Amino acid sequence: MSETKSSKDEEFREYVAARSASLHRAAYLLTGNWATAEDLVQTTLTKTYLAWDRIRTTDSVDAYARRILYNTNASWWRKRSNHEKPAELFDDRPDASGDFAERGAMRDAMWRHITGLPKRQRAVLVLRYYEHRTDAQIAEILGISTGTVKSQASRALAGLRRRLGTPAAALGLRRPPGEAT
Amino acid sequence: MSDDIEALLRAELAGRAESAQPPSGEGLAEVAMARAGRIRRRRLGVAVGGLGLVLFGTAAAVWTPWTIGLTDAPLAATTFEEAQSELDIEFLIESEDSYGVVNADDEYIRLAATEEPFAVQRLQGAYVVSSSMQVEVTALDGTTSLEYEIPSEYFFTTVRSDAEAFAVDYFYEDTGRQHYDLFSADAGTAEDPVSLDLSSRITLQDWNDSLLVFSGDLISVSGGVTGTHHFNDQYDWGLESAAEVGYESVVVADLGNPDYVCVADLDPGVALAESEECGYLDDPLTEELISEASVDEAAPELVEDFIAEHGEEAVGDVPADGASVPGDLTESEYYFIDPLGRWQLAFSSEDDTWVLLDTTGDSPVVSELAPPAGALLPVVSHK
Repeated sequence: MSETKSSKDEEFREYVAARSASLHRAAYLLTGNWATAEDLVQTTLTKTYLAWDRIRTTDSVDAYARRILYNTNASWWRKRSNHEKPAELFDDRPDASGDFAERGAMRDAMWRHITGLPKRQRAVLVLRYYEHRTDAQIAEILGISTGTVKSQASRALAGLRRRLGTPAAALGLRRPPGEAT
Repeated sequence: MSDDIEALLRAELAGRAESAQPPSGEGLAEVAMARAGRIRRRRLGVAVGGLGLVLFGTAAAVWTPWTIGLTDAPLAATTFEEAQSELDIEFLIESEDSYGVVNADDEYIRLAATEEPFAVQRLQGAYVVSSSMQVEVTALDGTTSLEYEIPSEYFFTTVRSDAEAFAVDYFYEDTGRQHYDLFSADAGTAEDPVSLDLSSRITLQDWNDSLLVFSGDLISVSGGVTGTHHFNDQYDWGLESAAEVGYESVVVADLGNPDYVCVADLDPGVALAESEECGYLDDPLTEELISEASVDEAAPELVEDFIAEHGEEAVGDVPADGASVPGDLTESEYYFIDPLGRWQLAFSSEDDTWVLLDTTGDSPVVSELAPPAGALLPVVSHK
């Protein structure tokens, strides 16, 4: 192996060592399970290495990898969309008793709802509320317009509200309007 | 309310992400590099194989005018409509819920693939679509389609010179053999492929009903000596599997000097391959040997055409591992050569435009091609 290739590979190993946990966490939020997340990260790193010659000397390696991660996930969604179904509508909206267990159940319900969202909506939520990206950054990563980012986020949030009522109610602090006691 | 639900989302996503320890990153980089290497070799195989550019010795007929113009911005622009009409370029397209080919007449031919194809080749009457663990044969008008499961994520396809058949090959770990399945490019009738299990020391390049043509390293072993050799026996090539499925003969051309060939005369249906007779193609005896062994007067022509096409005008140096093809090409993830010699294309998956080399004129012309929306790859056309 040439010294250049060895050096290049070593840089890649260092990048993976430094960033793989972060990529895994984002992948987990996108896919909803660790097994698929691992596949997604491995595919992302393979694609990143394919472009390594081009990107290694730039300061945007991580941005590139994240773009790959999100877009690969979206691509998987398109390919599997005939088989994937959104999470079933659940009618187990909790009452407002407010105890800790029910708050946990509510958060589980919220997670189930997130994992049932269309992939693009979920990606927008993860980028905005986990990675704290601006809408412009999200648009760049996903290759969509900022208008689409806003509309996807709005739709996802509206869906959450419909399913869960108000978050305060979700946490047992306040009842959704009109809900009987 | 919005703030509440947004705050809850932040907390929930952060909590979920941090609640479990991500898998160890150990080995991730090595696996990624190994996969990338296989993908590069596969892409080079598809692209170079498309032109039938066997990597004979250290040289292959990969033209290098890519080195011109690529750094001389700005490049002229070519629209995909121009590419369709002037160069007959077809594109693999990903649309919302399917993959398809947009052909030179701008018709959309829907494919059956549900996984992203990594190669689409146009043969005499059908598209051959390679995707993970599946190869699909779809009629050029899209009316009929057949899918064959391939028990390997990574495989190569080799197109027969008449573009009416193709072979899929992959390494089969259980047997330690390179497994070949030979298919007809007929989208209308499903059929069992003809299967061969061979050493990976030899590589299938072309075939007809009676003869299989391979490449392999002969001279470094034989010294180019004519006469009887026992490569199959010594190196466990597995030619008996070719005999077993009914082939009359096998010709193996040397990688360094394809004029030097070894001919195995087989008994169809008998799983036995005893020895090979080796000689040079310019010797009439060798031609006669091929003809007699194949029981096919046209067999020598198949071999000669193959050698003539693949042995000439080696311009660029291409290491056989495909790892360091000339400068600008390695910068791109994808590199395709039109088998009919009209164009070459290089691009990476994130590129908005592809670099196009138009080789139809007296001098090659480099331009930036704006591919159609959703374009993933060009279709490699053999006819």
